[in-house]
Amino acid sequence: MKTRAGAFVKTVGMAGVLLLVLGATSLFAEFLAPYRYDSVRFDLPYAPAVIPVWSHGRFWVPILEMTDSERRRYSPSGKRVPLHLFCQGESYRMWGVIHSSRHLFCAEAPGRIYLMGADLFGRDLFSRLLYGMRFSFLLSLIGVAISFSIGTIVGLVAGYAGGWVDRLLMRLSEIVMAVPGLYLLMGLRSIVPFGVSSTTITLIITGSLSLIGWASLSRVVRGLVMSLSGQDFVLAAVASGASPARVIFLHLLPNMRYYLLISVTLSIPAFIVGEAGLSFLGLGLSEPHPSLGNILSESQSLETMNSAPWLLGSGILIVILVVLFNRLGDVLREAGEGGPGGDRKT
Amino acid sequence: MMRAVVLRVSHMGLVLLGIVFLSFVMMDFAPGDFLSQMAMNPQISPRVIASLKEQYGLGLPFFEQFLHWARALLHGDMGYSFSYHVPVSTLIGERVPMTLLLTATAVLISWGTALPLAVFGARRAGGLFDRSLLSFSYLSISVPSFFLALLGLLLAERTGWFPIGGARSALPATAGSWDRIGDLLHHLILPSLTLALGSFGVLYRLMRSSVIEVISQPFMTAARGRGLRDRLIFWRYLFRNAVNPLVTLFGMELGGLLSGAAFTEMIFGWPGMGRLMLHAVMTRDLYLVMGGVLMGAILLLLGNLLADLLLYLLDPRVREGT
Repeated sequence: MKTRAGAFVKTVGMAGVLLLVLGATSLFAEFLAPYRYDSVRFDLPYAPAVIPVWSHGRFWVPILEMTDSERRRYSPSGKRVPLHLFCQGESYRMWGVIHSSRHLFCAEAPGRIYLMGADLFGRDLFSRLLYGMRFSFLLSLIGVAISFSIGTIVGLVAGYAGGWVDRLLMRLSEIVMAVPGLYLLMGLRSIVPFGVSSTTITLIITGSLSLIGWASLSRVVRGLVMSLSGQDFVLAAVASGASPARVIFLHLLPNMRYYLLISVTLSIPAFIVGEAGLSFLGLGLSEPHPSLGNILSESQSLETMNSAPWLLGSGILIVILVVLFNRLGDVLREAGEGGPGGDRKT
Repeated sequence: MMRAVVLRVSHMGLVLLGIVFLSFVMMDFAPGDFLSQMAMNPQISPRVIASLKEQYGLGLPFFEQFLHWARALLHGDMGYSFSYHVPVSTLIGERVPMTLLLTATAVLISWGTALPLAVFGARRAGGLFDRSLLSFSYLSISVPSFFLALLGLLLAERTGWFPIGGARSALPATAGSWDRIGDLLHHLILPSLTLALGSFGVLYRLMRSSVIEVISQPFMTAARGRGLRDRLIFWRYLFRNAVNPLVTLFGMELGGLLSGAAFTEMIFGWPGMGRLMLHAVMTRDLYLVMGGVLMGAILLLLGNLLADLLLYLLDPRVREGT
């Protein structure tokens, strides 16, 4: 068991492990976040981060006091409340199913714990980032699944069938790739009116991002199919009367799996950044639902950047996620090149 | 050769037709159009709206409306912008030079720095210089353009070295044309730098790996063995071979000249195509959206074509192959 875990870490590298940790963290956002994403405190706009202090055998959270309501400056009031672990806080439904109100940590009633500061409405940035990150993960995983399925099927059909089918499909992918991505996204977004439910918007964003993503993947798959089709083992299979399905599933796909895995990993950042960009422009997920993009868009004005620079943290989180996925792709590529099974012939 | 070009151009025509048709379908799906918003404005008489409707064939069934627009397009008429109340071609004609100024400067900066640095880094691959630039490239690839632009804005505000957003500041009427140009350039620095920073990473990594591959080729050893001058070895053997894979990328950069800077433009308030397009989509300005998409797509396709032609000219292997 231990060696298997070790091998896993070796294949996915530090980046993979970190991504798993981040993914698990966002999965349990309801429990790990001290507050709900829409839990407001209008008396604490742009409150800075408060750091719990250790004394008398427990953690204490200082209570902030607004000293300058014009410029939204705060200073510690001298009072403090204890920080509890595994405590009862705001109630939530984990994944929309499990009803609970237990949180990993929470500050006692009048106090409020802001690990990374608050936004204009006094909502906890840390909690919102957790929820926003979960949205990014979910959206990119679903989006990748869609674009990956379309891209692989189109690529397989085009590469295997050849002829006019190939030409038609490739022209289609050229059309998709020739439209500037952001314009296409904005155009697709404008199909649904503004102010529809967040579920619809999520579907539209995911759908449009996948609609853009499949094209380049299908060309990669097509190229792979064409290069593999000329190899002896495929020719032999075809000559011995194997059906196209058998050839595709038994000979072509298993040989492409590393490339596919790598291109899938490397295509995830496009989804994360695409969603964030759309939400940043106000075309994506709208308030009060948090997404990494619309949290960042709150800090668009210079005034906000000055009084609450921590809101830029969502941008940093996007960068971290993108770096990790890029790194994971690279690690997988290296593992595929050198490791066993990377170049195996079935 | 000519045949290949003609074939490619006709392909491009087909793809363009597809794009135009699909985007028309897309806009048709969108509920309401600009005229229905106009109709709610009591200051505009129903007569004006009816005449606009007739002139642009908006009341017609889908296919006829499409043909109407496409026929006008062939005569160089891209239609009318309902939100700006000017012809689309005028609007695009105003914005395109500004966007090109921004993106071309950015391309000059990124290529001008990344290529020499990559050659330098590749010669001492794995050294401190190379490794730090590699990590920098990683960051450059991973930072989304809108975040980078926000950071740039923050820098401008904190240091006061650069104007915050816009392309021009209010100059006195007496200001000469040199002052105006200087002012424009001052506004240009930060947006073009952030754009260049964003494309530096890809360039550096690609050029570096390409140079490393070429350096270890036998013909390089042979050239050195024959005692050729360093300069000759560099330009004729190393550079010409190493730059090959970048030509395709160059085509893509050319293609992205119009559409690639959208976020940067929006954040810095640069009056280019990106902001125009966002406005057009938000207000459902049908023909403006179509015009913008068309221009962007044409440039993308032209960029790819140009890259292939360049490759043909630069690489005898490609020439012999076709």
